[in-house]
Amino acid sequence: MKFKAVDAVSIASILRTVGEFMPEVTLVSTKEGLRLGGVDPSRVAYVDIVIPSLYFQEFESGEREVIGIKLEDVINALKNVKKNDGLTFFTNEGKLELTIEGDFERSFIIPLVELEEPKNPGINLQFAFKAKMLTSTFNETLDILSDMGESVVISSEDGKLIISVEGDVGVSRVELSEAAGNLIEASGTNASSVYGLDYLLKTTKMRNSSDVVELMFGTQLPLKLRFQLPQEGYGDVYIAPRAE
Amino acid sequence: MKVDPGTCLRCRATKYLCGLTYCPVTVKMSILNMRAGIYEELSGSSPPSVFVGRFNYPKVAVYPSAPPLGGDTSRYEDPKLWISMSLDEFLAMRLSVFRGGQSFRVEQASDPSRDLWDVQTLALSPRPVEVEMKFKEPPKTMNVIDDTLPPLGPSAPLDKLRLGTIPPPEKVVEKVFSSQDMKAIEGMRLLYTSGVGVERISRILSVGGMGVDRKLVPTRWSITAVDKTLSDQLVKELKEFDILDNVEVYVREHLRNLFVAMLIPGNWSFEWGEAWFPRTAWNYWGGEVAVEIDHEGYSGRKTYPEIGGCYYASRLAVAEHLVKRRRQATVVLWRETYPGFFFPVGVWFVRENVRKLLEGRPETFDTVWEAVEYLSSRLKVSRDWTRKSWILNLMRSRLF
Repeated sequence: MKFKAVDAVSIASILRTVGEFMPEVTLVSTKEGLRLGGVDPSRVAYVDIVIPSLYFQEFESGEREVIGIKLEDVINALKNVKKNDGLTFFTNEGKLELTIEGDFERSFIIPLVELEEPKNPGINLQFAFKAKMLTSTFNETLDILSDMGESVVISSEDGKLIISVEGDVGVSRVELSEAAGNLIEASGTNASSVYGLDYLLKTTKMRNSSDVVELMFGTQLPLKLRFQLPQEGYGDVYIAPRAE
Repeated sequence: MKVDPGTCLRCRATKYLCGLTYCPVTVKMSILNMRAGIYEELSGSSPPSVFVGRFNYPKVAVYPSAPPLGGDTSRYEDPKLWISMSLDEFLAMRLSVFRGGQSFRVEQASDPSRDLWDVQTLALSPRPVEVEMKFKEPPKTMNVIDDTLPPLGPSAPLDKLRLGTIPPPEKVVEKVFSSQDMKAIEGMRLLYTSGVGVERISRILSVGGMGVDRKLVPTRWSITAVDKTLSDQLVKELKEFDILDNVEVYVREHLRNLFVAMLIPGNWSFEWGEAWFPRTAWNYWGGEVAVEIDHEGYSGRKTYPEIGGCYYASRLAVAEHLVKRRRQATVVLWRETYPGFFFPVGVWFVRENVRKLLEGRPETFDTVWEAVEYLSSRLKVSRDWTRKSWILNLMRSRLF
């Protein structure tokens, strides 16, 4: 498996996001591209990232190659990547060789770990409401609500998306709509569900990799966040509704 | 708190009719006996005991301490023995530990004066040390009663400390103390894996006896620092182990406290909860049971738990248990404190009780909900726990 990306920051942010959910991850590469993700240890969230081969400047893979990496090791190696740095991943004899090309070249050799290949649970849900927005809008909303409580209520009312948090001192509420210009698209019926705010906050690092996020949910249904990636790639994060 | 004198007449320290977990009359008499004749000098055997205060940080008071008794006083600093004592005996003992205080800036630990050096040397000792303390004035009855610290007796400014023969510390203690390039975190771990108790490790840390940039650390902070550092390492280890097979439930009652543990098959996450009934230490004037819970997921937490040092003391005890068994689990620990548990005695009480709790034989269940059903007859605020528990809510909220 070998791939080279021109935007090291973007790849690093994807890996950091996955690292927020799980300590280790399996990377599966095929001729079509790269897929990584799995269920978080508390089994509340499922992450599924698909990066097509066209995303990369160079991409080489066998029919199907599977490797396991300890995310802490890789994230540490990538902690100082800059905007114009390039990044190469290359697997060789049980090791991952990682090269960052920028003002100067930095190389890291990281041992691979043996992991079971995750089974794709095939989540197929009919969501009551869908809304598309800039990832920056989504992050800003979460930033406003982040210190207000532990659970976030996501609801839709007459085409508007309402995200609110009830804390010890009161309720904070953010209303987004196409009319107000902060949703790119919105459609569906009224619905409402509660999710753990800390799980939503784990996704904010995707801001550096994705410009647009689609949010899908329904009453007592998981929340699906689809972060759009270039070349029709995506990062899906499913978060289970919270039973209070 | 007022006790009807008629109650004492009928009880005479035999039945605890006042509802407390100790007899105030017995404790007071024992303390008065021990304190009789202590004016400006004290000759005794330090267990060893050193207390570092936190007020006026970074210029803090350091108190070498001792009871007015010679011989083997190690039980004064041994929580493993305290846990099997009556509260009468424990309080009478701890409140007769006299403290002689001197002020130092915390940085002085790295280049100590003779006075501070003596205190550091005392703190390293593995066994009691004969001491003579000359006070500047008679000790005042200012007892230290704190949620984190074990109780301590009267104090006075110290004029002079004279130490008897000091037993040499173990080689590993000497190594940690003399290594100027060993980080405190490494020192704590080395001492712990060499069998040095957590109380001694926190005492050595508090007198600035380890680390690269040495400082005095208030005892209250050093206790929690040690519990956290050691449990962090153990939690990291236990995440490598296989997951437990069944739900295990442990229950222990001790001195009007009920401790409950549920070890649930799953990846590591942890919750510590406390329910304080009205007329207990932290809910004395309350009208309802006060339930507080703090938690962490698999990746740990980034903020200090509001519930305080008990969180890390209990986390250490359960992490020790799981590492010893080479198993990983999702852990729920709850404590109910009933009326009569009148004042806080320190986080050792939680650490040692959870250790004892997990030494017991568990009831096993196939599902967490069967375990919760079983516990509903043992817990007095069962509904509050199941409603507020972060882990039980997490269990209900899983994707798969």
